[in-house]
Amino acid sequence: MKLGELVKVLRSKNADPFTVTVDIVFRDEETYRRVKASGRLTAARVAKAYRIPEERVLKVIFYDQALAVKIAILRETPAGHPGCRDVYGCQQHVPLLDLEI
Amino acid sequence: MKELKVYAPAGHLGHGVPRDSLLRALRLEPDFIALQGTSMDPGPYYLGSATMPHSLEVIKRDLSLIVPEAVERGIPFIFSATGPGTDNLVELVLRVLDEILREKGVRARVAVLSGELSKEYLRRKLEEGVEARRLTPHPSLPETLRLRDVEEATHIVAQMGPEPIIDAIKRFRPDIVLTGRALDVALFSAIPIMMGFDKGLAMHMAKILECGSLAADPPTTSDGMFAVLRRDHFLVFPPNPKRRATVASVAAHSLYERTDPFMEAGPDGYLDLGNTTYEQVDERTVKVSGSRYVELGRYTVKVEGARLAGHRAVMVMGARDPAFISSLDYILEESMRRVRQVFGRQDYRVYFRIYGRDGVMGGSEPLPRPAHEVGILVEVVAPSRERALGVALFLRSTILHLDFPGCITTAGNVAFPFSPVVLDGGPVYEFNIWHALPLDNPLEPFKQKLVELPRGWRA
Repeated sequence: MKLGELVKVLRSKNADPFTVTVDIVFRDEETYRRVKASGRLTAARVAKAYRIPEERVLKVIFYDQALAVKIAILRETPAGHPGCRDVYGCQQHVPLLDLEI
Repeated sequence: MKELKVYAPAGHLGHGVPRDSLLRALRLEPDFIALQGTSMDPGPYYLGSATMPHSLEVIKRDLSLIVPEAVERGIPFIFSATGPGTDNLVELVLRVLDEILREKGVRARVAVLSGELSKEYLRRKLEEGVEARRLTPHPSLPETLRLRDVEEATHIVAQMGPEPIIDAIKRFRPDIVLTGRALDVALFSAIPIMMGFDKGLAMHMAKILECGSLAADPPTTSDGMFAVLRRDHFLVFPPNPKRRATVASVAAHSLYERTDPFMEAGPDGYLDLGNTTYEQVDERTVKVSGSRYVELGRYTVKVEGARLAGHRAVMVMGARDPAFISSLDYILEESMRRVRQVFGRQDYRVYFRIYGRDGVMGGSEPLPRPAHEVGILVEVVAPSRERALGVALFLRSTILHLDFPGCITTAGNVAFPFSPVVLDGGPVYEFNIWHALPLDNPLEPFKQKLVELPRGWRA
C-alpha cells in the first residue's frame, strides 16, 4: 500500500525557517499499528523519497496517542532566503504520498 | 483561586476575530484574554525591513472588537504585535489602540514591553564572553553568535518568556499588556504561573490556545478557543458551537509546527508531554492532565536577526511551445552562459523555478516531467537594484530570442504576462541570527513602560 492511502492527514510546515516537519496522522489505530510494526517508515527511506542525504532527516518519531508520525527535515534553503521555493514549507509532503508501506 | 478561565479570540492578530465566538466567550467570564500577534513564519523580509505582513485595517478591526469589551469588563488582555514585533511596529499598534480607545471613549492603562534588542546590548554580552548557540544545526547559521552577525543584522528581536510579562503585571496592574516579539506561550502562561498554577499544565494549555481553534475540529486559526485551568488538569473547548474539541484534534495539535511531539523547549526547561492524557468529557470538551514542565536550572531566550542579502528582480514567463519545453534545461544553461560572458563580476545569483515541472519541490520532486505548459519564475539577487534588474532584463531578451536546436519560434520563445517584464522585488533579507542567548535575569533585555490611553485624555 502507498502511504497516501493510509492517512487522514499528511501535511508539512516549517518548525522554524531551517526545518520543515511532516505530520502523518493515520486513519485508524489498526493502520497506525501496522505501519509502525512494518518498520518501513524510516529516516533512510524518507531520505530516499526526498532524494536528500540521510543526515538531513533529523527525526522520525511515532506518536501513539495521536496515531501519528512526525518527521523533521533540514531545509536546503531556509524559508524566504534567495532561491527559496516554499516559504511556509506547506507543500513539501508530496514525496511521501507514494511511499510503499 | 481554584480555577482560571482563559480565552484566545483567534490564532493570530490580523487573521480576523469572529464576533459571535467572542461574545459567547465573554458570557463565560474569562479571567483574562490573550492573543498572539508576532511570527517569523512569513520569512526574514519582515524582520529585516521591520514591516508587517498584515493589513493594519484588519488589526484595528480585531482589536476594536476585543479591547473595549475587555477593558470595560475588567478582563486583562495580553497580546503581542505585530509581524516580527520590532519596536516601530509595537508603536504603530499602540497608536491603533489609542485611536480605538479614543473613538469608544474608554480609558486604559497599557503596559508596553519591547522585544527588540539593541546591538549595543548584544555587543556587551559577547564581550563578556556569553556564548549563544544556534538553535538549529543548519549550515547557513554560525554555531555560536559572533560580533559580525550582530553588526550585519538590520533588526534583532528576542522572544521574551512569561517573566517580563509577570513583572509588568505586578508592577503596573495594567488593563492591557502589549508586547513586541514574545514566545506565544508566554502570553497565555504568564498569569497562570504568577498565580501558582502548575507550569506544565499552564504551558500545555498555552500551547493549545495560542493557535486559537486550530486544535478544534474543524480546525482554523481564525476562531477562538476557551480553557479552564485547574490545579491538576485543564479543560479546553471552542466557544463556536460549529466546532468541537476532540481527543484526536487536541492530541494531534501537539504535533503542529514542532520537531518533537513529546517535548517542547522553553526558556528554562522543557514541556514534557510523554505522560499526558486526553479525555473526552463531553461532546465538545477535552480534559488534559499529566503534562509536566521540567526545569533545567538555566535560562535562555531565543534571539532572531536578519541581514540584507541584496536586491531582488523578478520575472515571470510562460512557455507553451513543445520544442521549447523539451529543450528547457539547455536554453536556461545557454542563457546563463551568455549572462556570465556579459556581466563579468559574479556578484549576482540567479534562480529558476519551473512551475509545471518541479517548481515547488526542486530536486525532491518525485515526478519532474514538464506539463504541456510551464511557468518560469526567474529570481535575480544582486548587490544593487540596478545590477539585479540589469541581469534580469538581459535574461529576458536572451531567453526570448535564443536559438535552440529544433526552434521554429523565431519571433520569440516565451509569453510575458506583464509590462514591465521585470519586476522590482525590493530588498532581500536572510535570517543570520537564530540563537539561544543565556541570561542571568529573564527581564534583562526587555524594556517596559506604562502608557495611559487615550493620550492627553481629560475626563
